[in-house]
Amino acid sequence: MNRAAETAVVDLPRTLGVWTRSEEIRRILPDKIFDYMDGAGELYLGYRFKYLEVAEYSAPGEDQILVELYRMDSSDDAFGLLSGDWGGEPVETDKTRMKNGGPAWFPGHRALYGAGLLRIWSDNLYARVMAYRESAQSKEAVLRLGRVITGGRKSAPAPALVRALPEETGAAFRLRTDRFCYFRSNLVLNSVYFLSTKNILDLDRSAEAVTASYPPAPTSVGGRSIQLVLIRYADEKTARNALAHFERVYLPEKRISAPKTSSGSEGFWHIEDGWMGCARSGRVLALVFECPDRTAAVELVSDSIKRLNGLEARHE
Amino acid sequence: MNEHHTCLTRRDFVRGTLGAAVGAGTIAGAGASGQQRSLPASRVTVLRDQNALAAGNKVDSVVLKRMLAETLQTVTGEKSARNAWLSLVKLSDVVGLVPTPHLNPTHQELVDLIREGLLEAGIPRGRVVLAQGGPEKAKSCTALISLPGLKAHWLTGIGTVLKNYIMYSGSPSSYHDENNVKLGEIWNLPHVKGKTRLIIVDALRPLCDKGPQPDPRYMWNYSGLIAGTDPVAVETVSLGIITRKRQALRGEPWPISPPPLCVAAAEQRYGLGTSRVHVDQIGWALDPLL
Repeated sequence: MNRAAETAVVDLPRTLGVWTRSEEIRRILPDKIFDYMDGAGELYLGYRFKYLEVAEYSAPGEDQILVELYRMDSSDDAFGLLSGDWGGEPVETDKTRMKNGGPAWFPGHRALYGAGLLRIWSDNLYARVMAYRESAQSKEAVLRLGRVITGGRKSAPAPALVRALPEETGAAFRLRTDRFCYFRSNLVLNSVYFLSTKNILDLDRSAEAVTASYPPAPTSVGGRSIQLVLIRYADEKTARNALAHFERVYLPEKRISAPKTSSGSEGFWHIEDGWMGCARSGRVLALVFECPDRTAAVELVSDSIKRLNGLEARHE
Repeated sequence: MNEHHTCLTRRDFVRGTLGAAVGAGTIAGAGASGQQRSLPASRVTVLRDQNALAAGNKVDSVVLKRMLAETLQTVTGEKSARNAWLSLVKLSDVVGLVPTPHLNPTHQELVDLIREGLLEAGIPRGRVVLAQGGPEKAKSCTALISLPGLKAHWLTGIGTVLKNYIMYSGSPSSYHDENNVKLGEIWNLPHVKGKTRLIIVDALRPLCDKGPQPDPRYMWNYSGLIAGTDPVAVETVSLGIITRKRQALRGEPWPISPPPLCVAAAEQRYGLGTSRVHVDQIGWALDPLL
């Protein structure tokens, strides 16, 4: 941990109403992240994390406010950290209204507040501002700190992979716009949708992925949600190997690879929790789970691959 | 061995064969000394008092002291807290208190009251020590009182009883990721095995999601203590409370992810106890989640 006032990510005020910031702003580098937060560091290392700055505010008669500023390699990584949980009250900082590139279904939230904790995605910065005890006064201070943190920073678009998510599949299933998560790590995937105790999709920080839930549309007759996983690997060979790895472990009894298509391969199987399907095209991969029938699996996989191919063609 | 034989997947989970696979040591490195036993149900005490937390979620130590005494008496069947402690530990023991330091840490008031209770029971001051930390901490104790905070954990599903001894392994990172299923083996290490006299879970204000850092939206005033001598039984009750709270919050099933494989492994692979539980429910009855 180093003092780093002169190069701080954000110029945090020394005082804020009745609150006073600790003089030291601690900087925590990746190799010391476990000292600061124990195993929780795995989350940030699972994204492309550069360093963390930590400050504390105290005030007479109030519990502390903790400010954590996670400087990430890219805006996509900071977005990913916010996307792990879309719950809470959307906060109108000066950027929160901007959808900035869509898609139309994307709510555009950039900061969410709940029970004393404000979480912010601001370009390549992810921030947590937490009052240990919520009060009207601490909430006001937390939200003011949020405005300080986002002030003057540019407003980046959501990751391209997220923009590729289909809004619906057929007329029967619709994307839950508060249940999608952008990630790179197998650990994050398992914390959202458990697939395997091992990294059978060969995920690492060179890949990017999004998983989303598609519950039955209100007009449908009940049923379970479909789960979609989209992955873009560094290159085609990695994607091909990852799909082969997945099939070997997840579908061992099938003992076949997905049939080849002109640009990759695809396959659909009925397993314990419904129909699943997967398709690869070049370096992108789409997988669906828990589909009620083969048609739904084919539709969502096909639409996803088409959209991913569009991203690739546009070099997004 | 093919990889599909050495890792578990969602399909095992859906088939309901996860527990069997864990017990059979399917997980790589889960050890070879399986000891499945048929045990009678273990008793677990869940005692709650809605006044345990005052305004601002500050602990009311007077209320908590009363809760602790009643919990001890229920677990041991003794008529006083003093006798309860003396039925659990000997005057000659070095008693290590093992609170959780991270992510929803154990309330200091609970640790202090337990220390006070042991001293009042006659354990010499120098023989009641804080024992959270590396293997040497456990080695220096002849008896352990485990005091985890009740919480879900983003890497292990649940991070309460079994995970509380992770530092005793001397290599905590060896139990991250897929290896969290092996957490039970730590309880069988020579410097740990047989020393745990009591587990008291701090369920005053649990965390039911999400981690890896505390999010107050997922904390609530359960205002309880969960206690027993069987780590698997106490973890099973703790897991049930977390699971039911998650469902209540969302109004729909919200399974813990990843699934807490370490609990089934602790029972079936490491023989630490049983998930067959008899709960003694005492006190505040609103939303017990049992």
